[in-house]
Amino acid sequence: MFKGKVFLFSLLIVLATSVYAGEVDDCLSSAGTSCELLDATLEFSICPAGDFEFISGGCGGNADYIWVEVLNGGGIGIEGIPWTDFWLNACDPAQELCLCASPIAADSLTNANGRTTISGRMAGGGCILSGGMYIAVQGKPLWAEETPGVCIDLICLDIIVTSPDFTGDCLVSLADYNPFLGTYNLAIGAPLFNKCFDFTNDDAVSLSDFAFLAEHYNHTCF
Amino acid sequence: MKRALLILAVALLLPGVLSAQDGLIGIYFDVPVDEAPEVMHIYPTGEQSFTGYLYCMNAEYYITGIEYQLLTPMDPTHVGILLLETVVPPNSPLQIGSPFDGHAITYWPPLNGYMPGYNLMATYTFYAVDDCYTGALQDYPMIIGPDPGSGELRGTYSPDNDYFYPIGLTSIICPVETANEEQSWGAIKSLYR
Repeated sequence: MFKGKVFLFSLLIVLATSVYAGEVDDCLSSAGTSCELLDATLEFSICPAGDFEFISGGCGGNADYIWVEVLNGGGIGIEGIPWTDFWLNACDPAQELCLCASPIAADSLTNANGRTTISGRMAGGGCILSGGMYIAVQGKPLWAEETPGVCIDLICLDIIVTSPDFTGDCLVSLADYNPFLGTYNLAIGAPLFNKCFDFTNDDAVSLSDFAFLAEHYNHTCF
Repeated sequence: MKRALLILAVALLLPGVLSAQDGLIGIYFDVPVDEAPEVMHIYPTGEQSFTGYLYCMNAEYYITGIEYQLLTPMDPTHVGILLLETVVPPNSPLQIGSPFDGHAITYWPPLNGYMPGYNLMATYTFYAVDDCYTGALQDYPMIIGPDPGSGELRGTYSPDNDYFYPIGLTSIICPVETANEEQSWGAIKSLYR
């Protein structure tokens, strides 16, 4: 009797998380950022402990987000995709982030149109200054549709990511502190200025950025 | 006369107003229990070490960092007073530089600048090469000034690590007391009749 209830409960959970209309079409699906409307770049800082900046503050406001529209092969929105089925990383493999388990979560399940937004924090380390970020849904990176049905390039969202975990090993440590010393008290234009440590986005690495490094020192993934 | 008194009053009030929120930072030589430090002068014995305490007073913030430089204008190469050791509080994860060259210290968890209104930022062990009677150390100032790297004497506070700007204080080694006659205020006023 008890085993039967457990089975039914498990079945309900599986159904609740997987009942949606078909498989993700990585060419028809699309994504973008709210900052594009302002012709701005989405910028935020991440920490392996997932306790740094919210994406919602990424272009100066407090309501910014990444939007995703997930469609199936028939161009129909897929509803009910779980909030943990999304993944972001650098389009440039040389700038690949170290990401913790479930590094990002959508704000909700996808709606009837297959849309959802991402505005929370990200758990990981590394630095992306150029090339942007791709987004993957259920393991499938989304591609930009050049002509109907033809996708050649990844969708690379205009995003800059900084982290006190500069080395991208998912631990803020002495290995990150040492390169920070080399750029401390330098501003944009200085040859050794490193934007990766400019957590306050003021084009300088100063005491304020140092205080953030200290705040997240020794943080790692949970 | 009234105008002079007014200017004097404003001059005396202004630092108080300025320091009301951003506070003061300086080296003290006493550590009273459960009270704010007060003593900013010391008469060290020659060829012995003594301790100085960097305190931030009345900075009403949750302090996460500070940057400053310890200036000794009478002794720019620091041959009269040597700095043997700098110890930062246990909640200071990272620091850059040194007091004489420009020093940035971070604090996490932040220091509570509201209660009790004073915080120990660092402890120094100095060494006096001479005593107070040889002359070299008389009226020797130790000034908390701006960090040469940023050009600022400033701190940061939680949660956004924005800046605040405390006023740097001057401590004196071997202050030379000036003798004066005991006079009543009335006697002094009588000089200007």
